[in-house]
Amino acid sequence: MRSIDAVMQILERALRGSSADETEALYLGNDTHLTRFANNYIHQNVSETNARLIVRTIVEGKVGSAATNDLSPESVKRTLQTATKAALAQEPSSTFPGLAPSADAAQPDVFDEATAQLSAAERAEAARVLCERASRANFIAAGTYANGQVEVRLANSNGQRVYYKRTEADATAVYQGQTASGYADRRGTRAAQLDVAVMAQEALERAQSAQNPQDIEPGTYEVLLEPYAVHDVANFMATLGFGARAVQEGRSFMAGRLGEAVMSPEISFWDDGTDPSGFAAVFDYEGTPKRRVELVTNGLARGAVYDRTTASADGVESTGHAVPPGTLGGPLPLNLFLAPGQKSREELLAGVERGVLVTRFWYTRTVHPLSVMITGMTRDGTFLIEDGRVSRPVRSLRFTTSYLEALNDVRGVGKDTALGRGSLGATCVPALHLGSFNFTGVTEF
Amino acid sequence: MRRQDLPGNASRVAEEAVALLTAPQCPSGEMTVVLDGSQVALQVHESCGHPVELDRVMGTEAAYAGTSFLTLDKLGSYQYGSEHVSIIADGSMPGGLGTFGYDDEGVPAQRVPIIEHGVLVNYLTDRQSAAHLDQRSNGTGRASSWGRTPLVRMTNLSIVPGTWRFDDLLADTDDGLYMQTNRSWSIDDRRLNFQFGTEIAWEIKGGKLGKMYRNPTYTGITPRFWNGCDAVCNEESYVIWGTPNCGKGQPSQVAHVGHGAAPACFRNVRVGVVR
Repeated sequence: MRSIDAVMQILERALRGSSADETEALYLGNDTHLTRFANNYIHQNVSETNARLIVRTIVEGKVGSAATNDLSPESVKRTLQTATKAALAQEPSSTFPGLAPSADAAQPDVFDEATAQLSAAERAEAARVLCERASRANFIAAGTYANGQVEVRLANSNGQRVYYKRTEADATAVYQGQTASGYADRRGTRAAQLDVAVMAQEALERAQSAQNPQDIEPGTYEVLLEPYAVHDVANFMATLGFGARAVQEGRSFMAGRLGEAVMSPEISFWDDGTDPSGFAAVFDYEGTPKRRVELVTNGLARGAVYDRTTASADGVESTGHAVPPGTLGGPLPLNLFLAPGQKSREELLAGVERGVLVTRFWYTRTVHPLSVMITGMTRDGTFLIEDGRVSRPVRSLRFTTSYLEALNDVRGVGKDTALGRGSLGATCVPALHLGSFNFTGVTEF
Repeated sequence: MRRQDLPGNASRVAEEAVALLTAPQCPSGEMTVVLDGSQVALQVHESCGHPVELDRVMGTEAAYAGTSFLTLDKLGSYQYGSEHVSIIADGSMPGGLGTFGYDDEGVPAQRVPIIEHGVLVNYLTDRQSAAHLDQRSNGTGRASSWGRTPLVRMTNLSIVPGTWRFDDLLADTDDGLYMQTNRSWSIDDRRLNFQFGTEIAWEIKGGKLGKMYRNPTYTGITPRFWNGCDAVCNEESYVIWGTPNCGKGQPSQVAHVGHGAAPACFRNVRVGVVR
């Protein structure tokens, strides 16, 4: 990674070299490493160090942007020229309120030097633990162990100067047996948080108990969703429902329903980019400090997340939820939390009369955005629960169900939470016992 | 781009979009389905292209994208589809989004039969995976950028045109649905159980298109579905479609791949699982 001074020089050079009315320079740096294993051996070990500069220029209300990962003075100059040329080709924006004003954003405690410096040998050791545990039990392990750091800096012509860096560590494992598989993952900002021995045991036990799955009839069942599956539910709520643009355009179930009950009283969602228990990011990609936003509180729709453009349209302030440049769809909650409840996993299980235990979902896609109607598969361990006990493993099931409807019939919320990664951000969620979930098909394994 | 005739189609698509707002929900049941060429292209991509990637078959994508139901014991004998189903991978065909001179391991792009009259006859291979079969790579080792490792990727994976004119195919269909333009797609991690949604469907009654339906979906199990294929249209309605967002690998890689496809007819398809 470049030194702080070197990055600031690049950003300041970009601002000084611009002739636009307003200019923003965003630096996105990453230094990431990934060791991948399959068939109980490591088959891939890769590292990437990269840095991108994205400049946005505003000329007479016209907005243009350009990006480069060549950070030489000549390239920065060319990128500025490209952004300005792009701006001049536009019509003046009637919705863009200008760049973010100067404001402080405190650096959260989410950087760990040991995680940033974790070696290939240390990743290999983690892979060894995961592979050997599988191999000893005659299972086949496949997965990853990744670590790295991301650094984000933003400077603009309004005097805004903000910065954070964060480390990340991430381990996943699928254990495959003769007839079924199991899964476990762990992630956090510190590699020391990832206990791969515990994770290996979890994947193994899940895989062992999933063997010889049987058919059940598709239909409507209660479900006990492990946090791995709840991450998917939370991600769809975030991308389809909680962004201000989706609300403004009427694409969100929240549109016109603020203050109304949209989910069970057991459900509270909020976004908090300052909470170090998630993948904290204290300002957004426009340089606005992130605020905690209550999205749904005890089932009531409370609000949406905003960037500068959507905030201007509603006459409010940005909540600091602009997405990376080039990402379509408007602002998103990238640090989403679902409130834990009171129940242990055993208590959740005991509360299910006849239902399906889902380890995780796979290949989920939107069928209808307004109702958050989603289809997808269960994967890596699906089980029938009868009278509060797991009675037998079942083949992976296809579901086509409204996540929103499902969150209106919540029978129990777990007290423990797990951190998951979405396509852009992270979610921190508990297990959920839901009263109604529509399974529409079964596969052959 | 010119062949797409966007200006010429704009009014029709706009009118259809408005009509869909009040169109009835697509009916449910088991029925005959005719898919337009663009949906056949995605069906080929998801239910044939991915499961014939040999690295998936050998397990190296198990942690993320998954494995494949097309295990090695099936090579050369497995009845993947009906006799009307022949699928070819061709990285050298002109005009495809998956066309190139050499792959990212330096192997020349080539034309390889994958499914011949319904039977699985080849996998997509790179240099490493081909060694499992004592074969040479058939030129599919592709990386998304300078910073990624080459993986087995589709090139242009195309269904071979059949003999039917599209109008004749419709005229020969007494009762069914015609589905156009993909909207959603999902398939399990061995590529067996799939569900697709399209933007629009039309009733076929007595060989003619009738009522418009909204929110059509269909679902199936890959080999049963392809074995239910009883007609593929001819070159008149054959287009090389593109899939610019094919995801695979860790770290993630996005590939551009092509699919030549024409409308095709499938029997006994489960339609309309959305309430």
